[in-house]
Amino acid sequence: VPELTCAELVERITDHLEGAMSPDEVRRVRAHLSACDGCAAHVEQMRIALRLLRAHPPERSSHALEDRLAGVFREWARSER
Amino acid sequence: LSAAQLQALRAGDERAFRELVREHESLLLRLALLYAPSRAVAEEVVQETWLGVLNGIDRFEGRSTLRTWIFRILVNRARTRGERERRTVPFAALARAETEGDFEPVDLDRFAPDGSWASPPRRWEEDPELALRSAEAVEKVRAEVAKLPEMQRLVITMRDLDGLPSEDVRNALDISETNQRVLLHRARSKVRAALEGFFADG
Repeated sequence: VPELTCAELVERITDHLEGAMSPDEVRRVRAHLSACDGCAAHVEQMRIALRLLRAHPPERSSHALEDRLAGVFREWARSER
Repeated sequence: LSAAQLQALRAGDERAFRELVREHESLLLRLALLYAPSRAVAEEVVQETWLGVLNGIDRFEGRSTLRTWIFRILVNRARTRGERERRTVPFAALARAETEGDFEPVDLDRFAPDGSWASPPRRWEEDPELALRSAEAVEKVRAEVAKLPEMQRLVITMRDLDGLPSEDVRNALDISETNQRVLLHRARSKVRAALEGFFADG
């Protein structure tokens, strides 16, 4: 089995994080990461990026929209269906 | 959404509707905001979406989950609004266009000819500024996501900002598992690269 280069690892990182690799590929990625500080740092950066993406506060509707939606529902519920 | 909730909704139970609305509040607004020129327009799109959901609920047959069906209605409305004359490009074609061609998650000149790092990344975890600057970093991420092409933006918004499983994203956008993953990879890689610039600039 050919070894994975650093340039190849950064191409495949999402496949790895998404669990879309064969057990054999996973073993090669893990072996590479345990021996390569640069790639370990790259993966760490990717995880921090994910944390910052998830840190975005949820969007909230205005009260006006909530009221309009309640109106939409009541009218729908009353109408002949 | 459970069968009981769906039944309650069809029977006109307002509490069931409010629950459903609350459950999808953030993501529907986020998706509408990707397309809408203003928050007011985004809220109109959300309102039209719920009206469309209610009007179609008796015909909803559960071939997709209710959730993916709601997202499809929202995204279709958001996309066609303001371009009623033009035909919007189907997602499958857009996804193809956005996954074609070469992509460098990291600049090639960072690697030596043998594929090892010539200029390896730094560890941000050891950066004492990271914690201090995280609000700024979140803003940087938001700006970078806003620059992404449409499909990459949709996928990263649904997967990473909102945390939906990949299956829901695939179904809502009608794209393959591989395309979803390639779009996610390109989007995340660009965000990571932008952060690398951000932390390097100090």
